[in-house]
Amino acid sequence: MDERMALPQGTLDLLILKALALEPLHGWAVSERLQQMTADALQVGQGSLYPALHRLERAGRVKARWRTTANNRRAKYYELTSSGLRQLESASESWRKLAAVIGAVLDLG
Amino acid sequence: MFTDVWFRLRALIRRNEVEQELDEELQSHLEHETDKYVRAGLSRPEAARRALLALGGLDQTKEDCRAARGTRWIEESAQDMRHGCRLLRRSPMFTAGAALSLSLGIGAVTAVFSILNTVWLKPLPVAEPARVIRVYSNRSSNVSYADFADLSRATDTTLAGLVAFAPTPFSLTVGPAPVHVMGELVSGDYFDVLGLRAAVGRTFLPMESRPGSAPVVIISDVCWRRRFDGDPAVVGRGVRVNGHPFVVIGVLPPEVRGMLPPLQAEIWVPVAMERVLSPDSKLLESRDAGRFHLLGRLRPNVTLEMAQADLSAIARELEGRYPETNRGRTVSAYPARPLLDGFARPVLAFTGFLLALAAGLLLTAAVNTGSFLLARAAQRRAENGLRLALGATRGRLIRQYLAETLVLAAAGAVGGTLIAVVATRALRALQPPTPVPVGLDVGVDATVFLAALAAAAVVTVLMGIVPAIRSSRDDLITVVRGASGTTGSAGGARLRTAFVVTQVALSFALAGVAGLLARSASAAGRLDLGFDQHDIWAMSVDLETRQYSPGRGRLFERETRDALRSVPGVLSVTAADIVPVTLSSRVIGLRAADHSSAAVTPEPPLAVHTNAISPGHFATLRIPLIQGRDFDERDVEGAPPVAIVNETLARRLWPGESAIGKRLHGGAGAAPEIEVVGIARDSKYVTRGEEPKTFAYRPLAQAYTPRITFLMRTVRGVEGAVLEEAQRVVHRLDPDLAIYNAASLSRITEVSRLPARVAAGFTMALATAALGLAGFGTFSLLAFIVSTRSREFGIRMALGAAPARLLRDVLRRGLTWLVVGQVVGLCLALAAAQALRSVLYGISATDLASFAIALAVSTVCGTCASLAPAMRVLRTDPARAIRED
Repeated sequence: MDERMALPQGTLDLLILKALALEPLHGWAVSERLQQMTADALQVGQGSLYPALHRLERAGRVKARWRTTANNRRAKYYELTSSGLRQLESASESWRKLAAVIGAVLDLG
Repeated sequence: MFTDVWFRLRALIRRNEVEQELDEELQSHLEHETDKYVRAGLSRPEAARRALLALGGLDQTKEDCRAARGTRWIEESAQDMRHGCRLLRRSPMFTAGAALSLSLGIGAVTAVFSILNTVWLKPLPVAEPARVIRVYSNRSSNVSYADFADLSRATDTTLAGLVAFAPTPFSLTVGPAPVHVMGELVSGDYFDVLGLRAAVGRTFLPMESRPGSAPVVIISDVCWRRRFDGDPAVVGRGVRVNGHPFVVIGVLPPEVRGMLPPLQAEIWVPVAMERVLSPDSKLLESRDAGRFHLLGRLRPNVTLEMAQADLSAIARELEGRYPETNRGRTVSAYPARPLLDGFARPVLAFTGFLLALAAGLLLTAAVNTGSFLLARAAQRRAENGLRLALGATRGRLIRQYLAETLVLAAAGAVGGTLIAVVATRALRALQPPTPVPVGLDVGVDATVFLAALAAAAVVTVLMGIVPAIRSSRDDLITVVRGASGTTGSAGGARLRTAFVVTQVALSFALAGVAGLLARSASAAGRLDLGFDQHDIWAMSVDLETRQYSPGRGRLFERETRDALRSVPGVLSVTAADIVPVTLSSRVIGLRAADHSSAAVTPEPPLAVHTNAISPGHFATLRIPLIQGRDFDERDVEGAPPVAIVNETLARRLWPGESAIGKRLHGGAGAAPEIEVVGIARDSKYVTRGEEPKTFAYRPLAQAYTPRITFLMRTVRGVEGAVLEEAQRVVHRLDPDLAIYNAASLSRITEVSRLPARVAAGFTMALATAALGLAGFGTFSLLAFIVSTRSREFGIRMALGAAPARLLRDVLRRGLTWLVVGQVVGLCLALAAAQALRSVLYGISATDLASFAIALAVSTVCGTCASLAPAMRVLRTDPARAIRED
């Protein structure tokens, strides 16, 4: 059995935006970056990555462009838009607040 | 938002490109992932397998990505539509039949709705109609020009403009003979305030509304075509209006036909020209003569209530300043509707009735089509069960059925709109025989088309939802267990039977109502009017258009009568204010004057219908005088006032006594008493179906009116020649006096039959269509039953059952539906007849003959429809039927 944590609802978009905040990446690279960032602690299904990317593209949070990769393959690169950046900031903020509140409640013990 | 729409649009329109990109993107991912595993030391095939596994299935991921595009429901609907079209193409007969019947139903509803649209919904043909208001006075609803001039002060505050117009008949001379036209006498800024532009030429200049400027006139599109033959050089042409020279300065666009529909204005004359037309007229100064209709335009950000308050303040001020004319006179503002309220109400009631009938036909058509769809759904049960078992959702199945119905309904909406276009064109061309041209600008516009679509949508739900929901309940197990579907589902057959019975009931009810209306219309034609309208020719003149004084008018009337009497073929001549049975009437208050002493408080006056006539009226119309004498040349202006009453009035005022020599008192105060000199037999006066009315005739010389109609009794068979000669006689006396309404009396009185005939004709057409639909419905359901039970019939025949017995079985089924439907339909028809009682002439609401006719027609239809499929049973070949399946 896989012992890694399942991703809480609604956090995948946030993680993707965070992954793209540094530089434009193509889909596979995003999945690698996520593994790296979460140190393999979270289970990010590759299958759910692409629908999420397309949803973000439709909402205008990211925009996509076809480019050639370092090893000469064509790939679709996703890049954060200014609206995506704003979304990342506000979502991180509210996530932190939520985590803090939940943490405080649990520590009341 | 924008990116969202763009994204979805691209996904829809460039679907292939988007799909290919998805392929490529996922392929690229898999290659990267495979490389990673290869680098870790796996063999390439094994690495590729692991990569695919990590992604969680290529097709599953693609499907998820497609869902993320947010275009799925559109794609699925398009699929459903295509599927629906394919299915419909596969059974062209059914499709054509259903589309045709829906077209008939939607067409009927749409055509009637277009009338409703014209009289009630469509705004006046002015710029920004929503800001335009009508202003009425509480006295006789119209406003005097002097009051209008004062009310115009509201334009300083709440109104952007206020205009006055008086619908006025004019005598217009373009060619050799003058014609009688309706026109509007309008205040100077009428066109500017209403935002109307001329299509050719121009509208009035400010200087042209000042007294003393050159007389100018603007004409309507209809007038330009009809009276000027569409002359392209019409601007600048000289014409004569009421005998005075005028110059045409502009032609209005076709949609502008005056501000008081259904009156069709043909010419517009500035109110300042009134001084040219009739120099003695007090129309512009007097505060008594309320002949003007007012239209105002609200300023921006001003409400109706604010304008109302403003106008009321001015009206109160006028009450104080001119107490003798204006005391108690108030004004009210209303949003401008095309028809005046008084006129709109009967029209609304009439069209409402027609709309209900049309809805009945549409319902029949919908039920008919729904029943077919149900039968088809039954045949497709296996398919539905299979699809549900393979994972289709019920919602998807229902949507697919509705899509198929929607395709049908859309065809019906298009067909129905076409029918409505044809019907309204016929309606527009209809020119009722009225003295002044009236007509409604009925047509199919965006609102009407939307109504057709709405009807189609309602129909879709009505007829589609039942089969759709039923089919979504099919599951594979029951379908397979029920196997070969020989009997079909019991519930489906029950429902279809109910549908057929409903159709029979509705069509029978429509046929019954049609029978009632048709018999009533023809009874109205045979009703004894109390006068003989055959061989009488009529023509009307309006002496006011020539500014005749009453004295000159009386002289003209006598001279014309004398001259007409010498026209070859004319037996006798009379003149009258009102032509009987043309829906027009004049009512006065009368009471018996010498009945009791002054000590007793006088009874309130009786509302009595009246007509002003010349000597010879009773002889010409062949109305018997029961007692006393006709008017003669003694009864002139200044002579003792006299009257002839009808039997009903005589009985009412002097029961049991002779009315001759008794005195009538007209209305208020010091009016002279009127002596009764004769009693005439009752006749019809306003409508054909009316109850006996109290009626008083006055001599035209004593009760002068400038609008008179000459009635000439001629020898039989002179036809139109006598009318032509009569018109020449009038024009010898006054070449600029327009003659209108020149026709036979029986044609002119036709106007009182028009509503009944329209209703009867329309209902008859609807009933025919509904009977056809019901017959078709019966036929197809029976045929369906026969075909599904052919095996059973085969077995029974093989076992020795007489074919006649089988025939009877099938026939009995069809006839049972028929009888049940007819009983229900009879109840519906009787209820409708009760509602119609007041408009039926000469027959009762439970008229046996009407229902007998409906019963006969409906029975013949139903029997024929049952017989055809029943006969098919006889042709069943037992051996073949049993071997099938």
